[in-house]
Amino acid sequence: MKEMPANQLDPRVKAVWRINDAVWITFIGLCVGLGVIMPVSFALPSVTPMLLAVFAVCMVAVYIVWLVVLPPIRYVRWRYEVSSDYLDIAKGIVWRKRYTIPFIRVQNTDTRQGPILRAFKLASVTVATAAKEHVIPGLDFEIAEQLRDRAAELARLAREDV
Amino acid sequence: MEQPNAFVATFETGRRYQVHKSYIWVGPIVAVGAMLFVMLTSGAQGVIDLIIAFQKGDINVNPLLVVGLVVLGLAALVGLFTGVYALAWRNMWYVFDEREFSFYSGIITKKRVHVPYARVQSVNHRASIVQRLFGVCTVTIDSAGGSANKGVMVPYLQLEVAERMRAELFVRKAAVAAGATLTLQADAGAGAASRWVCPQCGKEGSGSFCGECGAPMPLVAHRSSNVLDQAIGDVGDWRGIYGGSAVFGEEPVSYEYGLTNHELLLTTVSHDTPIAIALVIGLTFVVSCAILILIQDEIARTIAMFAFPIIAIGTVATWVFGLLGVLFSYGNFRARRRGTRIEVERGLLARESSGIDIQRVQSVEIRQSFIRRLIGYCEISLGRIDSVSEQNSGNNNSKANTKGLVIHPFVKLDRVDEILDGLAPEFADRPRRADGAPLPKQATRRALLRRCLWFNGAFWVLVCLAAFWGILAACVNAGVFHFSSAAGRAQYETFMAGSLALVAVICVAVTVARGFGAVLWARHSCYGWNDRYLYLHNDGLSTGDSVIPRQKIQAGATRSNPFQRRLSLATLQAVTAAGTHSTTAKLVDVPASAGEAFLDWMKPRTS
Repeated sequence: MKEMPANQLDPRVKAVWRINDAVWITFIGLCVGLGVIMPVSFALPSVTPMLLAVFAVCMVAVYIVWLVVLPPIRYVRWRYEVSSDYLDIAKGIVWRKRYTIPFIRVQNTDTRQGPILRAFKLASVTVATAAKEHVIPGLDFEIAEQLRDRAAELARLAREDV
Repeated sequence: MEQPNAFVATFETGRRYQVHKSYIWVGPIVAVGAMLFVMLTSGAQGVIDLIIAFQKGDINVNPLLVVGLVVLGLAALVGLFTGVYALAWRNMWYVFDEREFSFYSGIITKKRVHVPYARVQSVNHRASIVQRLFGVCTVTIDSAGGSANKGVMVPYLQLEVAERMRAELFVRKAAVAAGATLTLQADAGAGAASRWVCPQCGKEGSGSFCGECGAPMPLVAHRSSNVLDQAIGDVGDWRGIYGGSAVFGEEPVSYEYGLTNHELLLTTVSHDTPIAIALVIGLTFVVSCAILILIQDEIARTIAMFAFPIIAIGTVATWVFGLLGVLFSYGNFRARRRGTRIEVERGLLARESSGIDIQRVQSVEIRQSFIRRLIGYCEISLGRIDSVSEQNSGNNNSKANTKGLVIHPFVKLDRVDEILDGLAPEFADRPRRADGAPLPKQATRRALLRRCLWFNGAFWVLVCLAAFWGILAACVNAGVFHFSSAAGRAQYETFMAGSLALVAVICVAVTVARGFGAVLWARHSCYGWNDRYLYLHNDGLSTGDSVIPRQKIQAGATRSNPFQRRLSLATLQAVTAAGTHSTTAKLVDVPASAGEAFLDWMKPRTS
């Protein structure tokens, strides 16, 4: 098996994922709850307690999976490495993906910060080629800035003798 | 003698050029015509009712008055449209500046779209039937860079102006790149004859035979023509009222071909779209008729009986019209290599001309649909980056664009090399199918499972239907539902069993076909790469070959799920910028070691 890329994300990214996922799960859960349970409980009041119980169990299970189980695994699986002329990314738990992005194809690199990332003093680095964007989420702000500058510099210098 | 290094412009720098005046009155005619058509088709019943009312004398108005009013109304509408179009025309112009091309438009909201010459990638034009009649066309200027950059669309240019514009943009691009200045020549290029490169001595000439060594010029050698092209040769080349004389690009043509009789005919017959549309329409009507017959009602049955022949005729007519559409769209097909560019022109009534620089070719795709595979023919196309043009975004042209630039719609497999060598000799050292490595043995079993089970829609429909009927049957047995009579229950059960059997038969047929495709895929798919190209071949009932230059692969990736990891397999993916966003060429189940080797191959070679 090929060696994994050397660098890991910042550990704080797990907290960011948890908050982000918690918000989404709660939002979707509310939508499902209001959309399904309310009409059913109006039509068949007798099954409402059972339905509520099932819903609560499902929600708890989803919360546990996404907030407790997944983040550490995702964190361990998410790796990247910036070599002198290409970016190497490995990620994914079940479907494992491995990317090689030559810097010669990179068109621009950005750092981005959402409110949650900012609260944790983190930033994500986006490396865009002509075809797709590749995001490295959750790096320490300083490291992200350095990485962006380095990637931009390497993208500028990258010349190939094919 | 022209000097190849002199940059000759035919448009004045900084001067405002307007589009052709036919915009003012052809535009409204087309628009009002379309409106009338929609009104008449959607309101046909109303018109008929109105006529009947007149004949019965229910309305006591002089019919002439009504006709007069309608004509007046139409005239007013055309007048209004003409006014608007005239205003739009006055506010629409284009300018060749020192470093960029700008197109201004908008009556109230002023718009300016500009493209720096350095970023011009391709200049294409297409003309609708009406536009062709008047010899005008719409020019699209594509700039580098996918979805972010919008193309510029300049409507209603005379053909001659459009051709000069294309030459002009490339001359100016070259001039900007070389840092040279332009010399203005009012009528440069106009009326110049097509020039060719002699295949033997490399000299340029314009006749059928080379002036230097007497060798036949490629024009004669490759202009395979078909009956349709010959019969309508004048129509195909007809330049319309305002077309002007032909303008040929600065660079000579080194290779050109058209379609032969049987190629054009078979392109048409084997094209998927007409068959698919006819099948869908036919099936829909047959099903609705069958439902009418099943309803035990005498009138409905009579209607269905009468409807059947009409449907049959209608379906065949749709198919024939679809075929004619394809025939016309590929009529007068021409593909040629001019300097560093590959140009394709096609279309009998509506005409389209598009080109691509060889440096901008993202991939070469060789595809075989099922029918084409049976008879050993294929379609060759070039992947290219498409920019979304503003006016074009909602158009169904985008569908055609996803296929890239078709350089030959129908060619025998063993002629592919010949055509690619002529049109794109740069791709000569691409890996061939014979060089490809086959997939490992485990791929067959996985492909069968994947295609016949997990991704088999027919199978899941059968499962869902069986489950649904099962639940219903359980409910009936449990006494939740009641039947008024035993006959009713028997009828219901027959219907249930019948529908299940029908779906099961369809499911088996589909699964067998998919299984056959899966085995073909696993046996014959292959992959390979050399220094400059990646080659992926996906076999099956229909096949697809991708040859991707290494420099055009934006990112290489492998992907694996737990089952693949257990068998040390991986999915190989190559992402290119072709299409409007991006295109991913992939091959499932290559050995994991090959996936790693591919990722290593993707790493830049700087040492």
